[in-house]
Formats: sequence, structure tokens, C-alpha cells
Amino acid sequence: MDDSSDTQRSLIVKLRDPADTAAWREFVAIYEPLVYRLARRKGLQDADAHDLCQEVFRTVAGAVDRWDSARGSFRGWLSRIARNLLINFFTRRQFQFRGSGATSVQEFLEAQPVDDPSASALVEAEYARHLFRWAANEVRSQFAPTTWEAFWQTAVEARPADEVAGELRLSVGAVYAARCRVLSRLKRRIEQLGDAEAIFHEAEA
Amino acid sequence: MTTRCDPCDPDRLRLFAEDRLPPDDMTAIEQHLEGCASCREWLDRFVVDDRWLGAVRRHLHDDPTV
Repeated sequence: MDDSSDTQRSLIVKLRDPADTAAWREFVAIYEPLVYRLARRKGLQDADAHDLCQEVFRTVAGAVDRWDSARGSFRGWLSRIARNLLINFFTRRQFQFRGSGATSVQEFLEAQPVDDPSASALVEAEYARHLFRWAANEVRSQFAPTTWEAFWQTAVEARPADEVAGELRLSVGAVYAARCRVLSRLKRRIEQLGDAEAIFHEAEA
Repeated sequence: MTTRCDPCDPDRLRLFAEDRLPPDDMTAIEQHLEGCASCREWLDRFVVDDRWLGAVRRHLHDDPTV
């Protein structure tokens, strides 16, 4: 995946300034759900998964100036940070509950290869999913509710345009136009972010 | 002098599908679609082939947050 596009790279560069709250807000909005879901899939409870997210972001804040796009993708780097912090988490738990949780912790640690393709793939898949949902939430407010609904029913739910037109009291042409307009706006919003290929790379993986 | 465009022109339909026509032309095609089943079918085929539609379905379906 190419996540070193100009827009994406510029966001990551902005993170080097801790005072750039807009950049950090955007970064957290994009990446927190990814890290959270990764943590949950690795067995952490809700509160622990949120704690892990905070740890990951603290680590990113402290090390982002050392990230070099020539040495690999940002998400690859992020997934390694998350993986290492997950191992730290389970190691701490092993220390806290020595004698009771050691077996499961040991199993977890042994199941984590140094280079974990499953964690990376999970981060990539979650990223693509989140990117689309984030764009949908952004774009939705730019359309009338019936336009959005016409798009949703025909594009997402794959329902026939004439059926949807009847339900929404729109012309069939208006339903087609709604589908085209919203889909194009979503596409442009994701392309503006500079990471459209992430979506299709994930689908082909 | 004004020129009349062929509303069934695939190039124009493609621009319509990509939301790249001026507003008046978008409206004209929107109205044309009311009575032209072949253009509706053309657009359905065009959109189905669009990988973005697949992404929309894959990532937005069953999402209660959108």
C-alpha cells in the first residue's frame, strides 16, 4: 500500500509539532478506531484497549520525528508500535498475575512473530474501513436527507432505483443523480486525503 | 446559436455518473432518465463496474454510525 502520498505524509509531518491540535485531532480520528479494534481482536477488554490507544499515541508523539517514509509505510510502523505495546501490556499482566495468567500470556507472546503480517493486515483493513466511514460522515451533511437516502438505498443497499424513487417520492432521474453525486463526493473526499489506494489494496489483499 | 446534445451519448452519461457536468446538464440528463430505460441500464452497468461502488457496499453496509 502506498500511504506515503503527499497529503498523508504532510499530516504525519505536522504531528511533529505537538501544538498542532488540528493535525493531532485528524490523526486520532483516523487511527484510534484502528488501534482499538486491533487491541480488541487481540483479546483486550474495552478499557484496556482504550488505554493501549493512549499509549500508542504517546509513543507516536515521542517518536514521529524519527519515522522515515523511505524505511516503510507509516501504518506498518504504527502496527509495530501497537504490537510492541500489546506485548508490554501482556507482559505487565503476567507480572501482576504471576502464577495465574502465565500460560495464556506465554501463548500470546509465542504467537507474535517479530514481523506480524496478521497485525499489519488487520491495521490495513481497519484503516480502509474507517477511511470510508469517516468520509461518509463528512459528506452526508452536504446533501439533503432524501438525496442521502436515495444514495444509501441504491448504492449501499443495492435496491432498484424505481423502487426507491417511489418510496422517497423522487423522480427516478433524481435517484440516479443522487447516487452519482454522493458517490463522486465520497470518492473526491477520500482522494483529497491522498490515500484512496488503501481501500482497493485492502480489497485485493 | 445553441447546439443540442445527444442525451444518450455515453460520454455525457459517464460525466453524469462522475458528477462532472454543469448543473444544467446534470438536470437535463436527470429529466431524460425518466423516459429512457436504455440510459438507466447503461448507468447501472457503469456503476456496477465502478470499484468505488464495491467499496461503498463493503465498508458502509450495516454501519449504524453513518
